[in-house]
Amino acid sequence: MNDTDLKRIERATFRSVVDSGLWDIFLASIVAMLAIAPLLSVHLGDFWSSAVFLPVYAAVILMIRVVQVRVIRPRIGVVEFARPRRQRLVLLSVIMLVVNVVALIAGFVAFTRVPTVDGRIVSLTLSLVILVGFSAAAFFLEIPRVFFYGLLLAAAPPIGEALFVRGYASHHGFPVVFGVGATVILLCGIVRFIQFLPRPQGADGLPVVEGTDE
Amino acid sequence: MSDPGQRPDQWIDAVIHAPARLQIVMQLFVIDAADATFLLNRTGLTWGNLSTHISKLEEAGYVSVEKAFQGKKPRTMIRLTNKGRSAFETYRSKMQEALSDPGDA
Repeated sequence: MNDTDLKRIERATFRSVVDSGLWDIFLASIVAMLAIAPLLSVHLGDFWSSAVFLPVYAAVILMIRVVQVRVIRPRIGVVEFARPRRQRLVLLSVIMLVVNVVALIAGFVAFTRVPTVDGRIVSLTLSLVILVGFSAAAFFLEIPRVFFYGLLLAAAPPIGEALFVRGYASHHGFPVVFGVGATVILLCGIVRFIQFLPRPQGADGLPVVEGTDE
Repeated sequence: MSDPGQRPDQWIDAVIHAPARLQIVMQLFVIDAADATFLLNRTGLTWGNLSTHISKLEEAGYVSVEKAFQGKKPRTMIRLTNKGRSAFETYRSKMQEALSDPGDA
């Protein structure tokens, strides 16, 4: 019983609450927007093709909230994490804020200077921002799957651009590459959610410690 | 520090040493507080056992049990007290010392 064991217990405890797969499903809905919005922009324009997803996000967040309260909390229980864990989460929030602001500025520059900026530079910048954001999330949440998502989504813009340049895909390849990414993340989230919920107490295979002492 | 002349039963904290209670205390040591459902899932104990062991830890002053309402639902949060935290740290250091490799001596 050394510090490593206690760290392992703390990490397992954290994951037993946070790593439910529900946020993977939310992430998949965001990535799906990147795939669908370029197709809608032809009819709705750039603004409305993105704005139309806001009610979808609201519905997904509401669904996640209901599942957390009605399904997860009664089965998993409630836990208050210790200060070091809370500090890590605050630090992650700050890093994600910075990454998002950088992404917003990069996106603004790309959109306002589209004729003068090479598409490959835009896609590589987007890849870098995605990779930094997801790497930070994977490190601070200690969920390696998030790093895999980062690699998957960071690879998407250059691959999409390559498909677009060769004439294999429209809209810089976004519908194809982010569509595949959203599907993979959604499937991972659903599988994780099914694995996450505990079996009934004392049911097949779940250890029941009798706890005899003295 | 455990005295080399003492038998283990003279310095081991029996309240913490029981496997089920050790699981509960280790779990509570790495967090701030948890409810009974959470401890049940993490320890694999039955409701009856968990309740019994929480009561023993509470009698020793190692945990505090706070009953509160979240909306209309009652919620019982269990947390390690300062005394419990310190007792577990002492238990850890004594066990590490007692079970250290003879070559380290």
